[in-house]
Amino acid sequence: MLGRRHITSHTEGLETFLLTLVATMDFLALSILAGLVVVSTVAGLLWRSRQGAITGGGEADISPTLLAPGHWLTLFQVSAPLCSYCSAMRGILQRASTAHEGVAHVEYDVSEIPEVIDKFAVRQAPTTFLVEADGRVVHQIGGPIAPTALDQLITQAREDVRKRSDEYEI
Amino acid sequence: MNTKSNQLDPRGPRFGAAITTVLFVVILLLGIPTASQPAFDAAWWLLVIATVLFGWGSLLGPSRHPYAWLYRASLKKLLPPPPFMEDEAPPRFAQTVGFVISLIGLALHLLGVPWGLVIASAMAFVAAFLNAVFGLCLGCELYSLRLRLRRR
Repeated sequence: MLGRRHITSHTEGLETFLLTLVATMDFLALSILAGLVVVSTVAGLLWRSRQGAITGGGEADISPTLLAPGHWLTLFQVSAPLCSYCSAMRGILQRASTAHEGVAHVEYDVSEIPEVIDKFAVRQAPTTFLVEADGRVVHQIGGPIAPTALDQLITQAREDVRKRSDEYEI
Repeated sequence: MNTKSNQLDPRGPRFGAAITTVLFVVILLLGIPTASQPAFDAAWWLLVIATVLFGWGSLLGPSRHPYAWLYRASLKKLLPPPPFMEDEAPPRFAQTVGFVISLIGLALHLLGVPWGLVIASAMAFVAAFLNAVFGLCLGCELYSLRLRLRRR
């Protein structure tokens, strides 16, 4: 009994605070808060669904002077000064470039390559392009992507290159 | 670019954002019923505290913030090492955005503008919620948006 009274006196301040909070809560406050939670959740889910979205390369090219020479594929990363996931993506791309033969990683700031930003309508950082040696863009990835998904894209790109060179030989 | 700024465990700022989210839930629940008559009530003083905390993170950086100490003393010990590190600059900028927004809320409240405190707190709540739940740094997105608009 004594112990219990002891605890009660200790938590009295918090209890009074919580009771005041509950007492002052009204329907309007709760509904505004619920509305804010719903709106932010929808916005967050929309944002998340856009992360790591892969689009196939179009007709447009990236100038080979911006690529790493002597590699069949360049992982072309676009970064921005205040970008939360750019360093994460840098690590993923660097590891992929060492794991796959003939693959290189280059990184540019948005301000360095305005023509690429305009041509491909880059609207988020990081954005990553998988570019072949001649400048042909195979894939465009918006936001961070899982290492396994990236490995698949690289393997698939190598298959495509091999198939094309086989056709050429025939 | 590639300014060699401090590197952080990215879960630290998210942990801090979770505390900020709870703080703004309380501010909104206390502030909405009295929104039409601005006074020096509990909601006001809690927003003052939130503003000071944002200012702290903005000035000294998120790694020298009370929430970062709390994170290192608690959750960090239970989690595996982070898969990647994050630059300090983005979460620091987000703290600055939070500071400006809550400061505007305080100013509107001081001027006696009804709902001023609540609207600013609602904006801060949405940003903190998105950061804590989804890892989306709204302040950082604002920065890159500004970068895009300026180039037009």
